[in-house]
Amino acid sequence: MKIFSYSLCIVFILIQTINGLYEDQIGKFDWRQQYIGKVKHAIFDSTGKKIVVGTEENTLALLHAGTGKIEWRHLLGSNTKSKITSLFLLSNGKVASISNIPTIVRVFDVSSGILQWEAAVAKDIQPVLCKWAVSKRDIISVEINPSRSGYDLVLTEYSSIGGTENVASTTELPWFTLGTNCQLVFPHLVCLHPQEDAVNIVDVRNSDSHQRIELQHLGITVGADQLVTLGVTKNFVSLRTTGTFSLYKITDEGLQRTSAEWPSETVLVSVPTVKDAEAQDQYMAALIKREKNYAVKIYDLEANQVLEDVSGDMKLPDHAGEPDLLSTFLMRKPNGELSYRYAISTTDDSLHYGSKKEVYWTREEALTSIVQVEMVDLPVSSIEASIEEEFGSDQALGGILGHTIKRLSSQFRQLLIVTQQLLAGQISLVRREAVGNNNKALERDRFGLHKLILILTRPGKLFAMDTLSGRIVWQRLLKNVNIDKVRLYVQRTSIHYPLEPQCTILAKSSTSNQAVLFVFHPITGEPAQFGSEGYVNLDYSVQQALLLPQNEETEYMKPLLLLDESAAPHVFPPTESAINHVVKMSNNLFMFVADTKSCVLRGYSLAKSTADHLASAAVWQLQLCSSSDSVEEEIVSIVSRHPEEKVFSQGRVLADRSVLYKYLNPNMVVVATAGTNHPHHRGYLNLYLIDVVSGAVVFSTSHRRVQPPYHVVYAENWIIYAYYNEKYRRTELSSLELFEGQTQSNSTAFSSFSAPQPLVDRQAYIYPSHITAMKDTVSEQGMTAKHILLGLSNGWIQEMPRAFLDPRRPVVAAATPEMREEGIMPYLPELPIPAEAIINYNQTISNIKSIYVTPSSLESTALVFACGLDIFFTHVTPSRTFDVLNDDFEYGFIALVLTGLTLASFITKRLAGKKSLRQAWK
Amino acid sequence: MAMSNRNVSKKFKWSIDLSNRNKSTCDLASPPGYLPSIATTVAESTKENDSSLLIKRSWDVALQPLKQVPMNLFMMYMVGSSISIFPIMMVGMMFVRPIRALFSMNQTFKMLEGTQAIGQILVYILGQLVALGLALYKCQSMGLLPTHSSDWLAFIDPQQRIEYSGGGQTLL
Repeated sequence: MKIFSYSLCIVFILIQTINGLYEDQIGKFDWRQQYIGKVKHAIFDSTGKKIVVGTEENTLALLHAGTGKIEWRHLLGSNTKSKITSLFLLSNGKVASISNIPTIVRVFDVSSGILQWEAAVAKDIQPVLCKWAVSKRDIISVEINPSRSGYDLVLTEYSSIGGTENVASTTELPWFTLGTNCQLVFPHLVCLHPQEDAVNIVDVRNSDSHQRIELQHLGITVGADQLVTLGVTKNFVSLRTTGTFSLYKITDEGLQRTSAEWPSETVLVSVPTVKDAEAQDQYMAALIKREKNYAVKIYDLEANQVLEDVSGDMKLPDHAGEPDLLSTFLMRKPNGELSYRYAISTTDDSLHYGSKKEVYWTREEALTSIVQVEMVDLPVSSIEASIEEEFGSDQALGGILGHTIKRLSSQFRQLLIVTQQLLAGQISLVRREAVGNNNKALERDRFGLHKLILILTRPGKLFAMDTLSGRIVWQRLLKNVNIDKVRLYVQRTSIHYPLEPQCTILAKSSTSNQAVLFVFHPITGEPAQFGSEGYVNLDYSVQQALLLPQNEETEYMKPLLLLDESAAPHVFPPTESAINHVVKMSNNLFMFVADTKSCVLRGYSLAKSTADHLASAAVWQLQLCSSSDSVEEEIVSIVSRHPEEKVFSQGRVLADRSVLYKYLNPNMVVVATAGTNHPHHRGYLNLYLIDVVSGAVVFSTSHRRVQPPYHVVYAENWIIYAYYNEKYRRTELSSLELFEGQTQSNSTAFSSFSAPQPLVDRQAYIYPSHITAMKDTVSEQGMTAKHILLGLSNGWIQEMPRAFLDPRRPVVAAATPEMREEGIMPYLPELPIPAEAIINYNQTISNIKSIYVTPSSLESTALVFACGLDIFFTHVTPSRTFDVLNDDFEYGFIALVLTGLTLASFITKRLAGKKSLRQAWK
Repeated sequence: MAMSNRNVSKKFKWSIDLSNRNKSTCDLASPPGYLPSIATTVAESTKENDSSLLIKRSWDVALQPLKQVPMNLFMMYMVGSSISIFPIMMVGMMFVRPIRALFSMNQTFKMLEGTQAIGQILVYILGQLVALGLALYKCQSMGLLPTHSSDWLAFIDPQQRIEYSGGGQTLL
């Protein structure tokens, strides 16, 4: 019996297997782009053809200078705390990278990217300061550790060939105080304390060499607290105040000011890598800010002069931020002229590479820190627009004649458009265009598979990407906004044709705590006619915002309801129709605000609003976390159902053909709180299902001895959440499903005030991998089966049918034929990871952080956008493509058969006629 | 034509016409025990029997559907309740036959004559209804009738949302 049920399970698993990908489908509707993260360190190699970069994402990569493509890339651990602190090019074609927390020295071969050796530096005491340098043969670390008498300086040398730790000498630093900012200009350590008016210099190999130089001696009159930077390059140190910039050479006698004139607008300096290393330390490059663009100047330090013929102006793209890293390469052309190349990293996380003439390429590394993604529909094509104009316009030109004229004119327009497109070669009559075509017009296709991905990133940069090719259609850097807790709302889509689509970004002002809205057209990226260039400065700060449903009166604009710090509601756009819409809804309009740290949820009702004055009143309050001091608990996630999610079936059919009705509460949210129990350091997770209208806790559950990461997915009437089980050391997925029961309390409407108490089914499953992101698939009508997309730490995205996580799966012994008839698999705790369920096949996505899903116009197909260090886009069809013909459908063959049959019937008819005639003559 | 002529000639060759001969032998004495009077009464009674025969035949017609019931029951039992081509065909026949019979009732009723015609009509209709009922029962046992709530699930509209809510973590 047991064997039988197991084999049955296997059979079921085989039946449920998702369609894999055929070889010829690779890249047909998916694409991947690889990134490296914001560049923190960039070094040109000695040929100038490669750039070694270390990034904020803890990635070491080699970029090809000509194209900007990644030659190789290493993720140095996915630990978020770990960062590359220093990067050095060694003389023998190797590169050394030093990461902190834990401190690891790694040496790679530049051309191949192969790791030569690595050494983990074990630390008993966390050093106050840790600096690194390279000499000809060694990698040198200088640490300042707290000791009994003050601070000690520890010098350690690692051989660059094998990594053997050589010498460790300790010297005392009596002058060192906490908060001192130091730079290592090997062999000197240059230190500056914000409260002191002097620079301390010490030779790290010789503790007696300490020098203290008053700032006045250096010709700096302002206090050290106004010194902005202490940049360092080779054996030079630069001091920058708000108005001056100066460069000093470090000698054994102290600091020696270089006599070259430095403009006070000098932002960055760097020592260029020089081709044919004869004059390595002779030059210095500086980036000087001008009014609109930047200038790169090359100084000859030995001759103390600017090389005028080399220096020149340079213009970064408009959407680039302020430069914060400069790396340069100098070469001598065959005709003896000097020429330079630069790599500049800017505050919008992009890396620009170019020469005096132009910027050759730009890498948009902001795409590694995506905050929010929305996929928006494209506008209708010009042919369809003319049809819309014909039927959509309200012109009074009635009657048969009027309509005829309208029809004729619109068809004439369509003809014109088609001929234009034919001439422009946009339509191919022979074959459909391949997906990778970049020239494809930005217009909606028949199945809604062509959309625009709006991406909001952490540095405040907004991108619009084409789903077909992954091409960046437009980009824009938000100005003067604080990007912390920023939200993107789609207020009107492109569907309502003559009306323009509109999107709004809600952010905080960078200068005050007040809110700023940026309103723009999602297709063109142009700011809308609001405020100054689309920026609307509000005179209050916003606690929470809610996108309300649209209607005809508001011209299909979804009004944005904003709740300010005193819980007073505001509407954007503040038009009369929008306010009327809110007032009309106000009796049934509720909002809630959750404070993550204090775990307090507050519910507000807008019932008291009138057309003149919108008002809200707090109606409930929940304190979720434990108030005990021995625990640290906070809200880790709040998940609500997608407001436009459609549920096709209102219940589940049981084996006895009765119905288990789903508990579909649109106002329910899942709140997960997690904490640590201090005496034992054991983590726990509480999950609350809260009706945010009435404040009722519908259900709650708790898991002890669990660890993050926690992921929650909530759709229809079920919730799936993932956590790490500390006790058994494995990832588990728990599944909850809520039902009203065999009868529906109210079959027409759902009110939270008369909601029934749901029945809750639950079950947990073991997942054999580490989950970093989780999302459910969405379809337009909710008819298609739901799948769960799981982003794994090894870079896979698995598509798992929800049926695997059904909480009603019975244990094998209790499985009845009825259950089997219902299509429920017997319970097996371990969930499989079949290779064909990996939707990104061999396109590994490093560090998956989140997955976004949007339905297309095809019921069967959903669009998936996954992001992390790489970004990946594909289609998923959870119930297979039941509404489209397969790619390999033989149109030609069918046509051939049909014409053949028709022909054959005509021929046989003729033949039969002849034969009967012949017989009649007999 | 030639063929039929041959047939006719053949027929003539072999046929013996006894009708003329009867007349010639009628003045012979009756055999002992033969009472021509009785014969006439018998003839009269057969004439009376004609109408009873008609009634009997009419009853046969009227009861025919009811007589098929045990047969149908047996068939139903044999076919089983799985959903496959044969049970479906059988169920279809079970439906089609009584319905067709009910539609062509007038023609059948022409055959039903005599004094008990109304009763017979009623019995006939009853029989057809029983056959229909059996078909329905079969459908029911096969689960083809939409008698369960699950059969109407696809027609239930989603519950309308009365309250509208939203919110989340504070943006302050």
